[in-house]
Amino acid sequence: MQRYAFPVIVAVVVAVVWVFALPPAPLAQPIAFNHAKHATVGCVLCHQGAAAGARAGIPQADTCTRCHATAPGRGISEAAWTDITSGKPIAWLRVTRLPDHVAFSHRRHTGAGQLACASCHGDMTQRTAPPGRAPVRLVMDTCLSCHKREGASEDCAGCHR
Amino acid sequence: MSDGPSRRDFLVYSGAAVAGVTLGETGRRWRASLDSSAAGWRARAVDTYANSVCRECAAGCGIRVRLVDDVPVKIDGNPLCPIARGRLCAKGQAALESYFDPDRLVGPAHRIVRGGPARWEPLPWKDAVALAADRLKRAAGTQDGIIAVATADRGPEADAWTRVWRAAGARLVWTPRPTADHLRPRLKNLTGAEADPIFDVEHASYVLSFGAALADDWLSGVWAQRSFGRFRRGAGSNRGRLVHIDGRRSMTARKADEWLAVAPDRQTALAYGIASILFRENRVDRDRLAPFAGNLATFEHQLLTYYTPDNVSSETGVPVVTILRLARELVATPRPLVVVDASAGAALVDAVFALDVLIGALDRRGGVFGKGGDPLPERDDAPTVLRDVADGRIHPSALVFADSSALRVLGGPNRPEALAEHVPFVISLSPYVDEVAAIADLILPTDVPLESWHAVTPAAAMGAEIVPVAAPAVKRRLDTQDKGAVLCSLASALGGAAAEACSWKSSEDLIRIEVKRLAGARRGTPYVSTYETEWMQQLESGGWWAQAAESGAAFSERVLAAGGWVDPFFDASQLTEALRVGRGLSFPLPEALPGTQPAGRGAGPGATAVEPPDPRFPVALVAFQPSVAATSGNANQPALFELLGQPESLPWSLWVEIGSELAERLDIHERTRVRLTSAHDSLDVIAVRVNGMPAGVAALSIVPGARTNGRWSKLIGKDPRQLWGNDSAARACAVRITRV
Amino acid sequence: MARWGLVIDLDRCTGCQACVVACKHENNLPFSTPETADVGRMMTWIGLVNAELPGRPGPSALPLMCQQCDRPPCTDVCPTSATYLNPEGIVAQIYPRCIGCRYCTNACPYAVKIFNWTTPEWPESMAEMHNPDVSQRPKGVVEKCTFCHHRLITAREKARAAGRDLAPEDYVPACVQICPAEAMVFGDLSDPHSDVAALAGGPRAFRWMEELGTQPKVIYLREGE
Repeated sequence: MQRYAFPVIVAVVVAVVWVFALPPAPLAQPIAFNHAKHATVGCVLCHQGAAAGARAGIPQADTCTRCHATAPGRGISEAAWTDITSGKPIAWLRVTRLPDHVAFSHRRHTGAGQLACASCHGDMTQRTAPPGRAPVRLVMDTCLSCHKREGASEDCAGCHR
Repeated sequence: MSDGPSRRDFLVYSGAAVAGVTLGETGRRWRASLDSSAAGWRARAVDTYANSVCRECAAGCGIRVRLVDDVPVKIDGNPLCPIARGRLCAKGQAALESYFDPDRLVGPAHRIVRGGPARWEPLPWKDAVALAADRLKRAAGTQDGIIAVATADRGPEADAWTRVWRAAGARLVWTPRPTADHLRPRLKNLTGAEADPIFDVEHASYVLSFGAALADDWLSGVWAQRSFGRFRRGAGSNRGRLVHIDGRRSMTARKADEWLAVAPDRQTALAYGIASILFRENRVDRDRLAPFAGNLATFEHQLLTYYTPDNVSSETGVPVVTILRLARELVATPRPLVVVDASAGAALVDAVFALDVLIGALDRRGGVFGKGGDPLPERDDAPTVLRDVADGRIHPSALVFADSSALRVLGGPNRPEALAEHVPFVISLSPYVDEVAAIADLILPTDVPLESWHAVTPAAAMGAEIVPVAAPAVKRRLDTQDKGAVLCSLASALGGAAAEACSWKSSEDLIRIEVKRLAGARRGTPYVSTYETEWMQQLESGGWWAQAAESGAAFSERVLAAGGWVDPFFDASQLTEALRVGRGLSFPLPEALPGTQPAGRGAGPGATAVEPPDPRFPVALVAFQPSVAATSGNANQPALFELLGQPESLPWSLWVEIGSELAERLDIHERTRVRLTSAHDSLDVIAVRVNGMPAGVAALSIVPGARTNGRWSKLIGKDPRQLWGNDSAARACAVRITRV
Repeated sequence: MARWGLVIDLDRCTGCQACVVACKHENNLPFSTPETADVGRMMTWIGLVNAELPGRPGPSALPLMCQQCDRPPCTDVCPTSATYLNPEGIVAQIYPRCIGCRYCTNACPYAVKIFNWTTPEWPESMAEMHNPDVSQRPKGVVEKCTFCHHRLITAREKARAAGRDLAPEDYVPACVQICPAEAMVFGDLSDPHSDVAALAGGPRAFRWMEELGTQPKVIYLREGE
């Protein structure tokens, strides 16, 4: 058995490196939403909490139907449109996430901090397909470097909860 | 053998690399999908607040429920509510745990095997109501028929309950609330006023309390606590002094400046003893009482004859100097007040009101006022009647419970299972797996308070006329129905007079009719800030009524949104007025103390009258319900069980309080486990030593809740009421205390 | 910079424990059982304790929570700086930094830092009964009263969004908000016009175990005349 110990170690190392060194695997979103086409209306129209709430929120069909009376030509099938407009939630997959112990508020950053959405979420206005992974990698350093630059609070308890 | 890697090595390592990549890719996908589809995240976590009414006791405090995406996460006080003013007690907050109670009934259920282990069969509402109606119809014709049990609230829902069951030919019985309702008949007897007593504790300078648990839960808990706080340290006024007379060291006793350990049955003697000193030392303002003296002179004569300091001292164990001092202290401050426990016996309440008259506290700031209102309906006492049923003295064929309060109060049957043994069919309308569910054959679960419509008459605690009103704060979580709708469907299934009596379809109808009535009164206002309330009071006492300029419908909506309606105007001279137009003061003449001699004939020792205690059970054990757990709602609330036995660090426990003297004699230390043995049963509990408690008594905590149902309530252990056998647990029980 | 402080008037306090439940629900504290409570693992950030105070006939019931010391013994012993005194005087606890060594729980003379012996659990029906502003602490970290710091963050943000300064009534911990007897007063000790500053300087004010030199920012007001 001893002769296989080293190959097994190699396999594990490769696997670990693969998981942690590569960007997260892309997820398949349920609807082929085209951000570029909608960019003119602004982010807040659909992500309603982005300016005034803690969480930006992800739109459901009631947001779509404010403009679209019928199924938009491409990106969604007639059947899927009927599904979501009849109350079935759209199963968006989450790509940008913060750990539970971080207290993040969109309002604080977009309002008081006057931060553009793109600084954390990348430029979505050019994207024609929904993001399968977080456009920008967010770690504590991302937050801190900006906080230092902007002279925002560096108190741990200000963000950790 | 070559020096380079062999073909075999090459294959093995290539294989390892491929395996590693495959594993890694799987892991990477798995990691990316982690909580990416978890439900909660799509929500925006939007905070909203809904005003509602707390129904955990009779106080009717306004509550404000914090909802995150329509799910309740916290209950606070409604800042506009004149009763609680944005504050709330532990029980009120724990109503949140009732809504989420994992052991709540998910829908109507029918017990399959009677008496056996609880096996339930779910039923659709229609079948459940039909089953109930069928059994009730059969029961209606029998000798003791149907008994309908509810809590003695007042308001449209209680009226609806009364109308339906009266029409159905049932006997209505009610669990009394420890509110001003209980004191009202005695006040009427003394002054002739048809009014609730209102104790202005907040503005008093000295309070002598006969068991009134100001700091625990008295009349209207949150109001009482606020009054206590302001009495102690009101803005700009001096600190009020509190002397508390209580059989045990309650939290009020701990907070008091002086605590006298006197059992409730001896407190009457102490009150009259103090009164007689006031007469003897001429500290009664006779001129002021002269216009409506009534039988004052006879009363005085009676007191001076029988309630001499020596007699009272030997009856109560309180030294003569203390009695003298209390009497002198009482009249030495500008605004003294005497208050009494809301479930005290009639004699003690009479004595306390008599003292209030003698110290000039009637209709005086920091004294006692009367708040008029509809006379109390005559209501049979549910605990007593249910004890009769449990003991086989009456034989109803069906019992209908609106809630489990009657099985929870100390005077009720100690063994609720006896009801199931004697009564063929028991229906519960309670949403919880409580004491009634334990004996019920059919459960028609109604909504919990957060899901319900409300309009109640709150326990009278302040002058203003208040009607807390609210629409449901949250959506219904399980297959329950509102009480009005259940009543209505039962009534129509019963047919006949019951169906005719039912003029509504749901609780919403009942509450909307009530709000319409309030709008039609053309006075009062939806709950508003303290400042605006004060302003209205000024206006109204000047004869100006703030006329509602808006339409009735708009006014009703505002009342519902604010959480209630209030008319702050209050006539502070109702008692004096009643005395002036009536027959004047009519003191109930106190009886002579047992075994004592009238004054002047030498105070002989009264040894014969008192029955000597049974030597086998020498200690008189009294039961009390810790205020944090004495809820009329759900009893399966873990946050409240953690509060038990604090600050003695005895969470989740029952405990017995024993005087230090007795504990010393029995070699019981703090937190020793002791066994209480009565003629009927025995119980092991933790002992707490209390300095100042008399040697012959002990106090045992009792926590309500069915021990067989809720996951938390079953952790509290055995129901201590078995110690009392068939006797009422509201009275003392003779026990022996031993170390385990 | 504000210095947040809490005044508890023992003369007004009725020992009703409404604050304990308010804290429990506000901060997502899990429930105990008789067994866990028996071994001292009940999770509460505030609770009544018996305290022998001078001039009182019996023990007084003291509502005790983290005293937010200006010289906290717990922060000195923390090997990872997971607990530290923040610029506004709140002794913070950063859970992802905490390694659960429990030095701080031992160093705290008030015994108000509690260790998570188990992963906090709620029955399924109560899964949604949580305050989204507060995290659920994992097993193996120490936690404590934060003066409801999350409320400060939210209040400051709201005030800023409305374009005004933080008003005293904007930021109140859950225990203070609920207190039926109005026994608790919260505010900025560095503001000489605040209620807390006035009360803290009054003749009845004392700090619990102040002889240890911890300089608490929870100030009690003596019972009695």
